[in-house]
Amino acid sequence: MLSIVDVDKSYGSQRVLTSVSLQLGGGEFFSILGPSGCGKSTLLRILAGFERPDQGRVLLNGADITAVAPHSRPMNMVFQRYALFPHMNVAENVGFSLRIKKVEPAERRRLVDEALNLVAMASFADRPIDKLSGGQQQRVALARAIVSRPKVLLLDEPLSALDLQLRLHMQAELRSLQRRLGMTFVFVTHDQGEALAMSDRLAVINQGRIVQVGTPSEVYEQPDNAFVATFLGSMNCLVGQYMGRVDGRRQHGWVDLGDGQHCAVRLPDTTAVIPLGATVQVFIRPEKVRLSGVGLQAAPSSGLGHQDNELPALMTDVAYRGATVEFCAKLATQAAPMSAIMLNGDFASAQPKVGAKVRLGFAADDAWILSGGASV
Amino acid sequence: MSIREENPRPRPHVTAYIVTVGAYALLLLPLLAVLSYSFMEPVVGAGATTWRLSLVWYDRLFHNEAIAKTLVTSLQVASCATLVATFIGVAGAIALERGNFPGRRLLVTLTMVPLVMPELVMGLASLIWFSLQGLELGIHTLIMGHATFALAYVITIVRARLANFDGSLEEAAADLGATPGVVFRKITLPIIAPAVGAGAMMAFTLSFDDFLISFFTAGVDSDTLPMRLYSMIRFGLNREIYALSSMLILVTTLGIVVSYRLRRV
Repeated sequence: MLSIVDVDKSYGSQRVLTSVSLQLGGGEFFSILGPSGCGKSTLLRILAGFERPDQGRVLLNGADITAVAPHSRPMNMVFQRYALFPHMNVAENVGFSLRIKKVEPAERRRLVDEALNLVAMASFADRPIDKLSGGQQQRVALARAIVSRPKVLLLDEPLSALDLQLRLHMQAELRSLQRRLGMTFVFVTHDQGEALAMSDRLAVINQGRIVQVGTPSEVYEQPDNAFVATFLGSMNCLVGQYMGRVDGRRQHGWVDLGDGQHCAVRLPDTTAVIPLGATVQVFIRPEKVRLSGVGLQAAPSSGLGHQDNELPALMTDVAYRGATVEFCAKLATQAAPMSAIMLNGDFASAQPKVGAKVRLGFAADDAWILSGGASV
Repeated sequence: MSIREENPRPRPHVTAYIVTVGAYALLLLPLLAVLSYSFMEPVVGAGATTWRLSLVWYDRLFHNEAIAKTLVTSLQVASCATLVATFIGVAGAIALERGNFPGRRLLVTLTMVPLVMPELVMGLASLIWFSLQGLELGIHTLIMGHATFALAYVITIVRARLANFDGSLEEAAADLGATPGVVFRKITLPIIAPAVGAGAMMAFTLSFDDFLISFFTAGVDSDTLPMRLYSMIRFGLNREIYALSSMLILVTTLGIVVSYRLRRV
């Protein structure tokens, strides 16, 4: 429905976007995720028509809209700082696009009421903008952007100015609003949790290039490269030397961590061959790490007996997080401690103590060597 | 004892009070003297002259047709110069603040020139220029001269407002379907309106007060109020001068107060 084809953009000598291509489906909640300065906002501004790409095209339902002015595009934007008109009240703000389109006053009022109802702000119609809280302004900005039913809604980090509670609440509301309207949402954010929780699909951008596109679980469970792996969620990283394939297993290899310790890892799908003895990074999600040791009894579900790897470590920190507990333990061979996140219910017995000797276990399939992390 | 949590200001030293009072006295006392003299009428009694409160000087002033005529000229010139300066000034401020063209920074600096250039030089330059162009001096040259320096104030005030206001408002309006013309009328102009008003008020006040530039650019029959005041002084101080000066003080003070109020909106 909405296509971005080979878009390049530079400001002066600074390259902001490099051959960016994306295909968005109708009614899709699509997130563009990346660290600040990665070019994601520029991409959104190209979609809105505020910026012209140096190269490439933007297509909407097959029609080239690259050169179409912002006011003629059937897309609306929710701005990061809301950009509500300070000299108009709530209803006038929401009705602005309808007034421009010369919609009859009675019809206009009906549509404005409907939009305000959708964001639960109907009782605020006559309020001036500066009498609203941040969350309320956010809702008005949303209502203003959807009132004339654009084909695509562009959202530029709309939740970043809200406090945590409100942000979580608005995430759910945005999601349900998008489902009810069946509109395509393009949601720009630097918050990986937000992108994972809300999107049908997402694109991860780094330094002006798209590094991976996929559903939240694909991007989280099967990152294409080291950047995606470390940017989404937390990640442990072990450093060692590649020692070759595990006998009889095509997908797995051995990594020497030093001091005679080894771990079995999953090799990248790429055809590139890792030279023997090369220094590699091994990535393991904290929730895939299980631990056992003094004062600890791993629950049967953790299946410790089936772990491919078990490494001795010294507990350095225990952080109780309510539903989960995060343990940090230091391997003798590694500079950075390794973290393991386990469900609170997985422990029957006493809290493990700092200084305790424990064993960290993880499956070879959960320990990844990724491109971009192959050599240090 | 009350506790003020928010950024308590240090209490100034007593010398600061003395210096402040002295400075304001120096500034305001002469004006107050003129004001009070304008309301006093001498009563010649036996041996000594006494004073009483009276509006007699104002009465005489208002019945002085020559002065009334210069007042009309001043109002005409100030209104026209304000209109011209505001119109060009707003357009210029937008171009200088929002535009992206070579020489923009230089032009910004050049708009400041009339603010710092000695008025005498500005007046003289205007006179030379008008005569080089073969323009006969009159109310139109007065308006041009005044609009030129008033423009600098309008641009400066409006630019400050533009610099403070969020450009994404204009983008939001365009995004919602407004063409550039509609964006300007419905969004930009209403938001910068207070600054435009402040600039216009400043332009009017400065034009109404101006003496030096008027002195160079006025024609034979286009004396302004301040010029009239000056020529009256040359024939000796009389009480009508106090009344006239008081009125100028009033108009100016009012203009400045309104202008500053608007700038804070």
